[in-house]
Amino acid sequence: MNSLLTIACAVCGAGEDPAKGSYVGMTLIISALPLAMLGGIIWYVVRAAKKAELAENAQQAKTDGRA
Amino acid sequence: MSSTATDTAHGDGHGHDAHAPSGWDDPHGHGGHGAHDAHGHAEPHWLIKYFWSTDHKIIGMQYLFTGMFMALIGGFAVYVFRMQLAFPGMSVPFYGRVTATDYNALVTTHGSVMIFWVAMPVLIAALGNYLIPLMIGCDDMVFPRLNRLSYQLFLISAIVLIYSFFVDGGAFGGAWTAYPPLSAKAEYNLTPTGAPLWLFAVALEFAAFLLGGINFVTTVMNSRAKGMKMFDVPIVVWMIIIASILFMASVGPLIAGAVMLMFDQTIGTGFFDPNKGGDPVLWQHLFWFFGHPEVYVVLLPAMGIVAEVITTFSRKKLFAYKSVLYTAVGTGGLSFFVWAHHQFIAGIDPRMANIFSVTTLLISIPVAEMVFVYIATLFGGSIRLTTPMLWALAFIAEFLLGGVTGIFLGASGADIYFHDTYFVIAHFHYTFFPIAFIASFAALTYWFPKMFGRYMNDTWGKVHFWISIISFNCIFIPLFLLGARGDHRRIYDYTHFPDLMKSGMQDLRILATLSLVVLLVTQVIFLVNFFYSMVKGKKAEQNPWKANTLEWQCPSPPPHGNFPDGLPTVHRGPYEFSHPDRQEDYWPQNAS
Amino acid sequence: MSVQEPRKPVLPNAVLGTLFFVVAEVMLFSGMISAFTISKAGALPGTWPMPGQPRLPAEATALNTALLILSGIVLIVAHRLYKSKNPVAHWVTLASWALGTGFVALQGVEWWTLLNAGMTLKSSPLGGFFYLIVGGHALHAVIALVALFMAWVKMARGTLSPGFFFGTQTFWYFVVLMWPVIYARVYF
Repeated sequence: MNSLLTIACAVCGAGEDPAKGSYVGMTLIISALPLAMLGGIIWYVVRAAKKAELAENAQQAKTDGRA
Repeated sequence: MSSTATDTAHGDGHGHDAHAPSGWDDPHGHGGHGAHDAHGHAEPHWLIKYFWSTDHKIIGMQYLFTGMFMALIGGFAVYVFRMQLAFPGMSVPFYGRVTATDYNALVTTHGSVMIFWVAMPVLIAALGNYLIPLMIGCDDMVFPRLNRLSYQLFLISAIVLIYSFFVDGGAFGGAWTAYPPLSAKAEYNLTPTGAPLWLFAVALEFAAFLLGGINFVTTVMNSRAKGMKMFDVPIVVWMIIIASILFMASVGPLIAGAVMLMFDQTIGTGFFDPNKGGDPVLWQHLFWFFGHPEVYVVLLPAMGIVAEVITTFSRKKLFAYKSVLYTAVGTGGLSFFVWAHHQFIAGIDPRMANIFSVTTLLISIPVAEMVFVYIATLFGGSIRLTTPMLWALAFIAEFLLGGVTGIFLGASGADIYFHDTYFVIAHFHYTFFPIAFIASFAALTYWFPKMFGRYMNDTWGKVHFWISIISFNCIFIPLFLLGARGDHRRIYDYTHFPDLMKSGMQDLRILATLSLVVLLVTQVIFLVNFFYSMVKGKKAEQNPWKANTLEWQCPSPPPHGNFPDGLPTVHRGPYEFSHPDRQEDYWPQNAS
Repeated sequence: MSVQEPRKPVLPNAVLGTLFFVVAEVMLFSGMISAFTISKAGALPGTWPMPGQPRLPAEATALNTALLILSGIVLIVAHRLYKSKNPVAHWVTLASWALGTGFVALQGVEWWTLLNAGMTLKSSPLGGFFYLIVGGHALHAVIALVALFMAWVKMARGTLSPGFFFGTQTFWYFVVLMWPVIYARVYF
């Protein structure tokens, strides 16, 4: 009823923005996406590092056993 | 995986004179393999040596000197438009009368040059290139040719920007944030050719830093010296890495926005034009999605520089190394969630503004923590007030002021009144001047003996320091006062606004402008000291400050390949000062 | 000058470098797609697509999409064969390249039809976003196809470095996986 009055205020009028849902959704996605991708890379690197360490230990055990 | 290990630049077993082509480095066949092998044993022609080098130290110097040159342009621009504000309509010495269009172009040039062509290249590209391989103890970057390409793209971007000053209509006049519709339509910004050239230069520059950032991260991951674990890496290297990752993850949306804006300008599409179904606020989101992480992209390396200088000159271990590191990562993560605090009055949902207020206030906590850590490091140390140390201490003090005033602006309620006033200007200059200049001066005076094998003059260094700091504060404290009284920015001539000419407001503007002139003239002292010391300064030994990190354990200046006695092996962390079991108060990382 | 054994990297340089590059590229496309989504949601009713303008041929593009995904799968097979040093590997790589080229060609035909039907960069916001996003993807696809072709030539000659092949593959998988997202958002 008083929406005609509040429309004079740039901030108050935003409540009726038809794109509001998309704005919020895209804000969430675009903020979380880089962190998720970087987290994925870090996870991948840590996993590869652990694998390499295990392989190295196994190699070490082998050479020790031969000696 | 092990079959691909030979793929690294060092994996060819020739030591550091031949960088094996890394495959990915050269996906489109430019250069070819043979061309690269030419660099190495024979001393190349000086033109090739200084302009076509793949040596990380020379590329770092190229970035440094280009950045210093661009700083002169940015400084001249601010001199001209501040003179116009203090003395409206006067004929500015060395420039002449400033028209309204000139004023717009000068403000835009000052902002974009200082951030994109001074702060970024000097803090990240120059120091990153110079320091990373030295500090992690390797001979060069892992993608040396990618590194050279990065500088060349950057140089082209600088040339395009400078060229845009001379085209029809002059340099871009849509402010460095380039908000549409002002930036999108030539009939508003009056710079039909300058606008697309500016966008092109910015996009090119981002491509250059993207390549550089990939190089930095990969180098630190894969080329650390033997024995250097994650927590033995000096803080400044970590900070540059975190900053590079932030940059890479945030720059995409801005490049997308830049392409859309360029289409709007040149083809006449309507991405940001409401008349054609577009949305001008969309640009603000795309811009600040990059723009706010960008603040931390330049802040973190500055924080890292200060950490190095403070530990060395207080002869104390860095207080809480791991906390600093985790705090920096946390700051980086949080910096993706604060950008909309630039749009509080652009018509975003007030509930969303609330959330962004909270995240904005939250991000001040980790940054404050870093400042506390530095103060705790100083506590009880044997402090030596050398020129770099003075700059580092000034960074903490001045940046603190910038951070605290940011709290006012981060609260959406207060921002409605402070928005677009000189309070905002004073706030971000209290953050950006310490970042781009105070920290750079700390870095340059600290690493100068390593870079050129000579000392800078300490007395003139201190004179330069004190005049710069005092005049800097005399510029921006008046602007805080003006802003609190509602002084609006983006005004060319205040005499048209009687409300903004009341009781002493013009006097404050004149005080700020005169202080600015003093600040600019003072930089001559630095430039003379810098270039004179480069050729005539007192010779410096290998480790003049008795510091621990690896760059001080090789000759000054380091030769091609960095470590003539073989790459170092690391035994301990970078900040082992005043160890009780040692006679000397320092303990180099590679000393047994 | 003594020579020291270099640190054995956890991940090869080419792998790490390409991964970070792909992160930046994904953010580029997510920027464009989020701008598209917001503009579409904010469009006045009945203007999306603009009256008198063609709607996007979503059904016909399903074939292109299938070709591209198939190309990605074939490249995975080629990677397996290359790892086991199977001599057929380079023919499978060429097959993947051919499928990818088919995608780009069909997209070109689609653009031609749309342009002739009056949908241009300037004609409507939908047109602008369509050519921006799909054109940006096509540009990446063409660059990746050039690299893939070079990988095929090198593989056939036996001069292919694992790093180059990995970088090319990662870039091609990025192009392949980006497309379903674009297809689902922009065409429907």
